[in-house]
Amino acid sequence: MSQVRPDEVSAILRKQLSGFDKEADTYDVGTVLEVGDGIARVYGLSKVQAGELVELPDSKDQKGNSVTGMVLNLEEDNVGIVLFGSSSAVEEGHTVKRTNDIASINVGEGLLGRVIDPLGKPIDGKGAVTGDTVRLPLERKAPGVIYREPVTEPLQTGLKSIDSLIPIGRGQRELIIGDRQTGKTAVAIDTIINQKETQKTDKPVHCIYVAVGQKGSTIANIRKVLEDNGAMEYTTIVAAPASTSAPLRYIAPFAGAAIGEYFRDTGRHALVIYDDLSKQAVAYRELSLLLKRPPGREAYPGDVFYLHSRLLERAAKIIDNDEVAQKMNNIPDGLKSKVKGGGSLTALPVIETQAGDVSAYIPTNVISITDGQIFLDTDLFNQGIRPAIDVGTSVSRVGGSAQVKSMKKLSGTLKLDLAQYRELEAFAKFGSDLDASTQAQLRTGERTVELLKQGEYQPLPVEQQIALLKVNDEGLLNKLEVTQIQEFEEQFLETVGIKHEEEMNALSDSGVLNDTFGEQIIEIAKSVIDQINATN
Amino acid sequence: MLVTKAAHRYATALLELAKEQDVVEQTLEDILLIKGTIESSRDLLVFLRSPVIKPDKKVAALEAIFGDKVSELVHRYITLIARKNRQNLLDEIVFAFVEKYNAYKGIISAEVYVANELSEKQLKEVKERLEEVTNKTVNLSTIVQEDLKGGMAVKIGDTVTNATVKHKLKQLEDEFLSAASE
Repeated sequence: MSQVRPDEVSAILRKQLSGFDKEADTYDVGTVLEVGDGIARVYGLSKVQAGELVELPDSKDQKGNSVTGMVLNLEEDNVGIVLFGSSSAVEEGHTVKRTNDIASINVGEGLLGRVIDPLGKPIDGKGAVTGDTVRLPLERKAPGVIYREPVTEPLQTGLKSIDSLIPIGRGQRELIIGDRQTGKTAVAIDTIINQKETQKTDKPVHCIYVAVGQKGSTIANIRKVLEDNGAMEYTTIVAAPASTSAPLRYIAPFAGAAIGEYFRDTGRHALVIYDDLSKQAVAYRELSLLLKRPPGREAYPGDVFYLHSRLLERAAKIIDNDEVAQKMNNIPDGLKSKVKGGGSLTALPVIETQAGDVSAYIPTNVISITDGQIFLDTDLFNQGIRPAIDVGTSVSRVGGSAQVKSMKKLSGTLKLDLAQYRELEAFAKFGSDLDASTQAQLRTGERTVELLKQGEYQPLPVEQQIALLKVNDEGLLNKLEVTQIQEFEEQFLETVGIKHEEEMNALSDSGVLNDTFGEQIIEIAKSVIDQINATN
Repeated sequence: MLVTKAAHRYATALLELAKEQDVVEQTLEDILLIKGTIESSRDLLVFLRSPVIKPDKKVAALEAIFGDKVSELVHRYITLIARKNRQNLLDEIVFAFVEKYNAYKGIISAEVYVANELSEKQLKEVKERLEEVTNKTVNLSTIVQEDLKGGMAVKIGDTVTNATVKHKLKQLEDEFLSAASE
């Protein structure tokens, strides 16, 4: 057993004490006038800034920690602060101390693989965050026009229906919207898991999952899924479960954005998922009403649009030019020396609708802010079409230019097939009474829909998706029954993977499907189809 | 003390008028008399603030209390306040007036927090040093808090300069704890 020598201890203590500042400490204070519902009104604090963190050293919570808060309202004769901790510890007359620190979070590589609260404190019991960190403000202005680039690189979700029909590019903001229990979170988690592919490349995508107002058990479950799939090592979870106070739920997405910006501004790629912004809007409404800001539509405050637009504007593709990027607006001091161009921050906000009502206030706001949306539909979900993406109403406004070439070519047929199928779907029940061409279209459509089904946590690499779509494009699936499609998919991908490993790797790198390999794929598909038909 | 906008306006008006007529010091004396009376008599404050008591009764009472003790200007001022039905603001108005007078004369008030009562000499030294630093006349008040253990903290306006032993120990504790968690 190793022993600690007393002189070693005193040496350490001396070292600690040597840096101790003996000068008098100067700070500004105020006094609590009234407190309630997580809000305190403070007299004094005359020089305080909006958004600044304050400390209440007299108010101790059950663990003995001082309560902290954030200044939100600056009024003529008092200051409105929101409390992060329990407001029952705060009493009238308690001192409020300025920290001179605008709400910020310590960000660094050490955050990957961790679960933190919106103020950057780890809550996974693995100790303090290790490694170098930079202090970044939660609220930061989005990069200006000259520091941005159009979206050109794809962000593969690993979901066939999204990557082919509603492609997402790095730097894009794509909304995931749907009722409860339609698989919104599943789409987001699949996307995170699929970024494992990129970790081997020179452009890895770091992921941030912001859980706002969710059940603690759900967050724990998500973490376990990510860990089981080896995705936690490049992911940070910012957790503000339903049990936390409204201010923390309100700032959680901003904390996620700040972490994403760290990667974005250092020339790397990040994906941030805000799950979900409707709950954040509710938390903000709660705060605003308690602060006596005037309510507007659905009792949300007037600036709820700005709340989401300023958050989502921070998702961007930064210009691939270090010199220009270094002049970017509002770079915090700690980050200045590290800024590089070419990075990106992709945002996937999630919105939960009530009974499919997308014309409510918050959904329409966020739809108009984002570069497209993925609609998830309860009926499709119940029909067993999972992911339950309604390809008719889902769009991606900028992702098309970021799509892999061959995928773009193949998705054309897919879109057409599905559109025609949707039109004729209502007639499907007439069955054999229909004419031959209608029947053929229905047959193709049914198979395409079946092909786009995909299991949870089973993202497909882009080359496998291309191979499958190539087979569909050739109309080969019509030779199979709908029930055999899944079996075909499995066997086909296995065979192609074994026989043409090199070509698949090349396809994954270049994204171009050459004619020879295309023919080889068709040959394999035909033989697999024959084999399946022979066994049945 | 939180002072309403109206009280600020009334106080400003009185100070301006006093400046014009060059009776600032005399007015301050009268106002301090009113302030002292209100502070020492809770009954008077409750009486002035009570919405049940009729305004003319309040006017009569104020007249009886201060009528012959204050200058002509302040006397008329109280009558004006009474006529405008602002008697309930009287305590705020006198408070605001003293604040405004101090700002006008360049006087600041400082609170000194200490563990043990300071001697006359120490107080004088603290006062002189503060006046030197702030370049203003300092109105010193001492607050004894034994748990500070030693040292001194000075509060001017909202700003605290803290050099107490208690605060130092707290800082040291934070430093050790943050080093331990790293």
